[in-house]
Amino acid sequence: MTELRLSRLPDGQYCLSGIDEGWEHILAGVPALLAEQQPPSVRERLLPNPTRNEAINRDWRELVAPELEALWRANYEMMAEDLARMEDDPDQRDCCRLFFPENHAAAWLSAINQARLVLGSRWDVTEADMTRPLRKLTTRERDHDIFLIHLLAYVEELFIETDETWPGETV
Amino acid sequence: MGTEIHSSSPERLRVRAATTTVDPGTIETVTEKTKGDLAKPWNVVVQNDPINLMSYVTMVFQKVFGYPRQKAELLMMEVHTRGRSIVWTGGREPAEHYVRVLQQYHLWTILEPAEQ
Repeated sequence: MTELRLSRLPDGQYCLSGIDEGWEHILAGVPALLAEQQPPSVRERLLPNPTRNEAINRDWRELVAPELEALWRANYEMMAEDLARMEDDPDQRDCCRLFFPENHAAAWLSAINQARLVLGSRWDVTEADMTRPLRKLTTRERDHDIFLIHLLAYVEELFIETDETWPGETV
Repeated sequence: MGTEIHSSSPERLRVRAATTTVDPGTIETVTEKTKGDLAKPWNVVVQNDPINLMSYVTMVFQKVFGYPRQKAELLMMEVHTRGRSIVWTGGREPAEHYVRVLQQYHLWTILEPAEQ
């Protein structure tokens, strides 16, 4: 795989480059994964009960959870739309690049982070799993997905490092 | 995040439901009790999980609460080493708002009465 790079242009746009076939497959897998119907364990992790009070939890499930799901869906759909605009990179053979507006970066970060959590929840991944040396991972599906969680962490770090001037959000 | 949403707090909606479905004598009692409940302090608690990156959690605390990086990192380390951290304490409505926003960022967040 090539080195994936994320940079900001003077007009604020993001440019993701170094996208070879491997990265293209991994990135395209994010919205595809999130569009799937998730098992209960994943839903419980993404939308946990906020309190021990069942009345509040019920209100939360009825009022807040659908809003969050709609927001997350908008985020991964935005990522999918951006990915559909990928173009050949004139500066790097056999690689593609992708430009997207500044205000799409948060949606990408949300979708990538959510995909990691979905994979982790599906396989009940533990702290020990995440600190296991990569060379110890096997070809089993669970280990494959743990490796994918690490690869997506690399992409997530690119977004966090690139966005050093993230503005604060107020209540 | 990509799309900002402004939700109704469940608490506000419950107050509204109560005031439209019971007789006038009951309305006063229910509303007073709810107002008292709203005034009590609540803790916003973030719990550890093995997947969220330390850098991501720190960034979220900075963005959501406006905390300086050092404070955000201290809270993140508390989550990581102790399994949980109280990241904000205050009235129930803003506390619910913070829980919603932190869950929006996929942090494992709960709300608990501060006096517990």
